[in-house]
Amino acid sequence: MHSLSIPSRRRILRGSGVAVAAALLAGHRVLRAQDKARLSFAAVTFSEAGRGERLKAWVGKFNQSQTAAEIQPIAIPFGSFAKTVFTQMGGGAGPDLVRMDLIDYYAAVQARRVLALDDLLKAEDYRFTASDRHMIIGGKRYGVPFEISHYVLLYNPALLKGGRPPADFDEFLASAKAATGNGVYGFAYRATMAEGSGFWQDLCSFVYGFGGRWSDAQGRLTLNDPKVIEGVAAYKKVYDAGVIPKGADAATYRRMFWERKLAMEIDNGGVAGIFSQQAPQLSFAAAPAPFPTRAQGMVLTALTINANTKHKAAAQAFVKWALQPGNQKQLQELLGASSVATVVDRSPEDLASKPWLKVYDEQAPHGIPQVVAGLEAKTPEIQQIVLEQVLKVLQGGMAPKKALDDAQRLVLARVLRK
Amino acid sequence: MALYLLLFQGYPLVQELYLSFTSTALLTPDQHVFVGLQNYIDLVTQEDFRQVLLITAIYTVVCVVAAIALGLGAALLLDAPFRGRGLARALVTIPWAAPPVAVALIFVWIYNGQYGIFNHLLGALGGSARLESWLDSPALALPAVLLTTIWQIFPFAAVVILAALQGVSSELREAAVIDGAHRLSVFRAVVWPSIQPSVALLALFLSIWSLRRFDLIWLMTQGGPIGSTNTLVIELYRRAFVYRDLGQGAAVGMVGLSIALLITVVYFRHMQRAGHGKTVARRAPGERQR
Repeated sequence: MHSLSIPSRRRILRGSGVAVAAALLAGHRVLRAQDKARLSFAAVTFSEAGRGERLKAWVGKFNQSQTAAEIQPIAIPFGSFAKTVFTQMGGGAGPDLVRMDLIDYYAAVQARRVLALDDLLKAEDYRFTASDRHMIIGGKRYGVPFEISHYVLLYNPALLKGGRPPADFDEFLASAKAATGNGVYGFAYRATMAEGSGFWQDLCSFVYGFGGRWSDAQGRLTLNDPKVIEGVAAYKKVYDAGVIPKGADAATYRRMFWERKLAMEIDNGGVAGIFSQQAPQLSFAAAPAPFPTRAQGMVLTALTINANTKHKAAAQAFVKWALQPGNQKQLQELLGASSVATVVDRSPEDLASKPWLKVYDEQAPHGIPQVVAGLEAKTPEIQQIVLEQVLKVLQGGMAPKKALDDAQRLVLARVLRK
Repeated sequence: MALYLLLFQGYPLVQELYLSFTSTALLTPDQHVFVGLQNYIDLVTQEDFRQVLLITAIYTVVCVVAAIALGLGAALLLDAPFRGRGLARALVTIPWAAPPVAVALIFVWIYNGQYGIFNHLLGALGGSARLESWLDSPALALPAVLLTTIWQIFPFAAVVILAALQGVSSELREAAVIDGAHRLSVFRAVVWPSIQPSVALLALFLSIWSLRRFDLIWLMTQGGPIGSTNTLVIELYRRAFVYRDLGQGAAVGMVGLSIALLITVVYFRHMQRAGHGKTVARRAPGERQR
């Protein structure tokens, strides 16, 4: 039988010494970590499959490069992002760094909830993309573009006649009809209030594509402009053509696309990136949207510093770090087909393996923010009224002209109080 | 207790009332502009808001009446002795136990125009009866949301009424049957007077819960299409957090609170009139639990 040996005094002392040293070392590390300024960075992207993890790793590189600051990513889903963050910011708190949509950016700037960055960034020091102009409000900069995503037609060549994308709207409708059947749909978009934000994005694709704008250069409302009416009429044509999986949400029809159950959809570069990463076996292609003009909506998100931050210097350090060429290149690569704040040339390998990237890049000059220009902060209210009126066209058979005349009247009276 | 009420209920209420008289943005809640009754005037003069009140009234009344009717039916069935009664009682409570978020997501698929089981059933029943869409249709969205809500809340009504039925004296029931009373007469003369206070309290709870139900409606329709499921709470959320106008949101909240208070006052007045002191048939001492 094995007897338990009693440890000698020396061994006990030696063991105790090691334990004390280890405790001291661990304590020192804890203290070192506590010395660091802990910042939070809220972004919808953190909650996305694939891209979220890669973005966290990118932020991790910043943390490794710093001795005085550490950023903790906060994932908030798209549907509740603005409400959550704005409630916190309004209460004098919130994340130190916020990646926000353009609509929210205008509201935050108007409420002075984000810091001006003019003292931090000199425009001449960076090769900012053309979309950067939307970051300047009243001659001042309050953010830098974090992600710029354009909209093009994504298609499954195997599901289209001759494997070619449609060249115009009539051809597009014919292609969608020809592709529909046996559980396959020709096209998909959103047309329900349950997906209001996405519905608005898809509607912008049609309206902008037909040459319509929600407001003119002077910021006057043009909801019932003939070109806007044309765009809405086209939306209705597609709705009635029997080519869309009605009621399927974006998550569902995007999955249908990569399972080859959907021939075409108009979507942003972020989605193309997700297809490429999540379904590498899918050989999809991209083409300009099949509308009379190349204009399409554009998702532009800004990287901002919360005015309530207690770590202004560290937050500024992160913004400057994010704009460094190497970090911009990594960010653009992890985001997929999106662009970033500065011009980053794609590698020849990337362009060869992902030919659709070129289509997205070529769409950049035609991108228009999905906000009502000149009335940016009022966009959510205007959006609600416009979508309700468009639903009357889709569901109730109301004429597009009447619906948009009513929308114009309602917005003027109710939102702009004119 | 008084301090608790003052601190955790009184203060927020006063704060909300004050907010409703101001123009306050979500991002700048510390910057109020006093606008007096303007927010309320805006609500009253908006045709949309009148529709919100109407939808709220329809939603509340139908939810309460249907849940109590179904709950009463289910409770009477579950009160009768049969094999497997315990299991049946447990199974009935499942919809109530399910999280509203899960329920909403499941029913969104059930009502889907192309893949939903509802339309497949309708198609199987009568081919041409297939409907294009439920939640996308202004005519069908409210009935669809109501069906879902009733399916989820009626078990609670059933459980409460079943508990009340346990308190009805079986001796009185038997005496009435011996005297030649029909089932319906027994229910009207013996059972109903006993369970009525519980049903009235249940109606009060269900009314207030229906008035303030948000998750199920928001997840299924966000108040659409074309405002056909837009209730007070959805409108409050939209104004406060989508349009970021806390003043307008607070005004909508005060309207909702006033309606809830009115229902509560009516309930207590009704209970007073019904006579608190009225003797209600109770189980005799020592009577065996059925």
